[in-house]
Amino acid sequence: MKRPAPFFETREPVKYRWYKPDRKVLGKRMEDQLRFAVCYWHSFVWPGLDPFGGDTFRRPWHEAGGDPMKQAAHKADVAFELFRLLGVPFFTFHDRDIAPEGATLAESNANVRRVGEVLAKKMAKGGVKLLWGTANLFTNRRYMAGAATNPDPEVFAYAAAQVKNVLELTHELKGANYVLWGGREGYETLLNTDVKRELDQLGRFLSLVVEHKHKIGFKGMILIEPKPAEPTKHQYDYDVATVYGFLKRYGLEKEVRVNIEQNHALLAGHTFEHEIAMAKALGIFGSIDMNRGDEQSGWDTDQFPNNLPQMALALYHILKGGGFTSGGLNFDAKVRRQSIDADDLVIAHSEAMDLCARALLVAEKMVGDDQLGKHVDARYAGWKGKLGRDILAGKMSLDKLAKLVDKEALDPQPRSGKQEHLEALVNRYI
Amino acid sequence: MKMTASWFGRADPVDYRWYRPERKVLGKPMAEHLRFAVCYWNTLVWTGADPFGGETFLRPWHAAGGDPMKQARLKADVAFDLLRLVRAPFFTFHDLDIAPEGATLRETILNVRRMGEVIARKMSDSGVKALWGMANLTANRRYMAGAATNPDPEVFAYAAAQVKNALELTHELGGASYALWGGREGYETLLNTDVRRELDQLGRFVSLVVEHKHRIGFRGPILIETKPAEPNKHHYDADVATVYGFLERHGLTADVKVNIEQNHALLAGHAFEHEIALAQALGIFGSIDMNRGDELLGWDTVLFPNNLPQVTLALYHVLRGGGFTAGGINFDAKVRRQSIDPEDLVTAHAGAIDLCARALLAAAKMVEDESLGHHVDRRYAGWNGKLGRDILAGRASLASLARHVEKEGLEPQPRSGKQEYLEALVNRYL
Repeated sequence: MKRPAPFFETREPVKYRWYKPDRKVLGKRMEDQLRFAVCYWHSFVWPGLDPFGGDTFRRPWHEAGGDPMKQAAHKADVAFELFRLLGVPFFTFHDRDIAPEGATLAESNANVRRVGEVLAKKMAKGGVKLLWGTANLFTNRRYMAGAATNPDPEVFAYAAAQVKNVLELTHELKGANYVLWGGREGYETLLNTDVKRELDQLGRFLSLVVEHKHKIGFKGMILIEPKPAEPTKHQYDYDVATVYGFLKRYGLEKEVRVNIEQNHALLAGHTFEHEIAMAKALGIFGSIDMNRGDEQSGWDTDQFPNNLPQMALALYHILKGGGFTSGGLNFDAKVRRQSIDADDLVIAHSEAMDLCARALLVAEKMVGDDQLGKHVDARYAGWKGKLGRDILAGKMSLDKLAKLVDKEALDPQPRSGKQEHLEALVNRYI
Repeated sequence: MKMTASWFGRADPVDYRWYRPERKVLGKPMAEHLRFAVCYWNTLVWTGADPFGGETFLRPWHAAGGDPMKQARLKADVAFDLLRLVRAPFFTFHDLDIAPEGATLRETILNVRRMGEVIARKMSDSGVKALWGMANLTANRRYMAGAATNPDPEVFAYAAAQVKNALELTHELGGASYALWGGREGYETLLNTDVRRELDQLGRFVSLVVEHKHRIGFRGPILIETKPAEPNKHHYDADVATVYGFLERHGLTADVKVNIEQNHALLAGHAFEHEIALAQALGIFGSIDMNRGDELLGWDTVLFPNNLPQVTLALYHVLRGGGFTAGGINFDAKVRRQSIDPEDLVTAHAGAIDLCARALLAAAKMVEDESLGHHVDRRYAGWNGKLGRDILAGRASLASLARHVEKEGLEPQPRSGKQEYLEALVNRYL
């Protein structure tokens, strides 16, 4: 096969201002703290279309009439060239990103495994690893009413067979995690929907994935990616707190964690750091889809991250909670529809990586002198006393507390929350 | 007191177009389906103040320099006159709505109990009942950083003593439920907040309330009222799904249910009927705060309900789930700041009661003719077959499903969701 012309103008790996993979940050290499990943779908699959117009990017592997498997190989070449230019340690993919859908599921699965072999060779050669794999259970029209939550159990079975294949491929490629994003697991109108039934179906599906993971010896985490809406009106994996309740209901809170995206947090009415702090508090923090929503747009714009204080606070909460284990920072972000130059992909990713590295250094300072943490600890210091300990240990009742308040004539006085001081303090680290 | 009948300028109860308390609907009198309640706070306590201006209503019981206990009695006279005029069978209250706060908690508790005796007499004279009572843990500045989630355990103790009193009074008044609304249980900035610690405190608090309820023999459920934000940036009881996860975490799902408000659902990004359907699905449906948010405003406007299709769909889901048990429809709604005539209170409640009655009749038609229900059942009919039953019963694995898809050559075809048809169908019932 004749090698196609180089896709990117850039030939040499990017030089970063802030990102130094080997620099130690809180005792760990920067690369190991950040665990950057490039995603396949936004970078190599999306052609630039939106609901009002079609392809703007004109990637050569999207040309009409081409051999889909050859195009997939070309796409993989470009992907691994981008990984090399960026010096990124991980990537992420859906089955349908890497290989074309066939006429039957058997054919689709075979395509995925064939490209999987190509990727395995490239990974070995380039030293790039897989942060997570996932199955696309939302594009094909068979999934329009959901995969696990479909009114038709045959669709559930079909999706199960598809996930089995991707989970096994992810295992063989030594992926660190396996992800489920329920983009069609929700409803467009309650009028045709039985919520309880669909939740039970979703619980069953996720249980099957966890069982299969153990059966094949996959050691990575299963991650659920929360999103409140879009494309459906309501998605069952709405936000971190909702996913937590769902996991508790089906006894999966020890097996499954969350993959938190900035834009999805925003759509759910939460700050990015809220979702991270909540997941840490509930013990289900897994990984991050790093991107940025537009605060005035009501949809998922998936822009590359650009807000230093926001990212520093997100990384601060990650570091305070012990950092990543199997998770990492996946750029679930896309260049704008008008950013049609090949090298826009290099610029977008490398600048985002550099900004994350800079934010990590800010977060390192916050953790290092711990003024924020100490302030929070001091605010709750009263709970370390006898009264606080007795309450939390379950040694008090309403009766006992009422007697105590009466006897001691307790009249607790409020203390300033110091919000302006703390907000200013954050800016001093930046 | 003579003056109350003249305060509203009318002696006779409202004549309704649609609300006939004794009329049988699906085998039960309308009054028992709807269980209407007038709330004390928005109706009798709010002065018309907003952040940009003060009192507009000039209620006589708010006159400066008056004796607070005499004013509380006048307020109770007017409250029970309104209940009589609109023929509402229930009312709801906070401890500090019915009686003035004293200089100490002991004095406050005494005031609340003295007014409780006044109210008990009025209840037995009129036959009006308490739908639920609750403690105001939001207004006093001691609660500015929360009650259960306060950084100071003495505030937790103080709140516990206050709730003990309000719960016991609710029990003595024969209240059907006891409600908790965590208007300050959340945070204004994560910078000074330990989410995990505060969630544990809140879990302990609700556990104490449940223990005390059993101890004194109170049979009604404890209700948590969900709301995502306002006054705080984030409330821990953000929505039904979040409260479900919280209750599961602390083992409280058997004793605690949710009180769902239309405007709070809207603020959380959910349709009213979504929150009701989800609570039914999760087994934690309790009661309704009936009101209406403005869809274009980001805050809690608590208008009186006015949207017939919306109220109908809400009641349809209430009926489909078996209707109210301890819960009911509480008008947590306020007349506008410019609606300063006493008669406005009668008109607002009467209009809302009549609309709910009309919506109940439409919802009953939906339930009786079952076109909607049958449509949903048929949509999932495949799950009643062997494949569906095997999956849900846990008799299938990813591997067995993959084999089944391969062997049978499954190629499930999508079927129309019929959303436009169903939306049109709903309008035919109105």
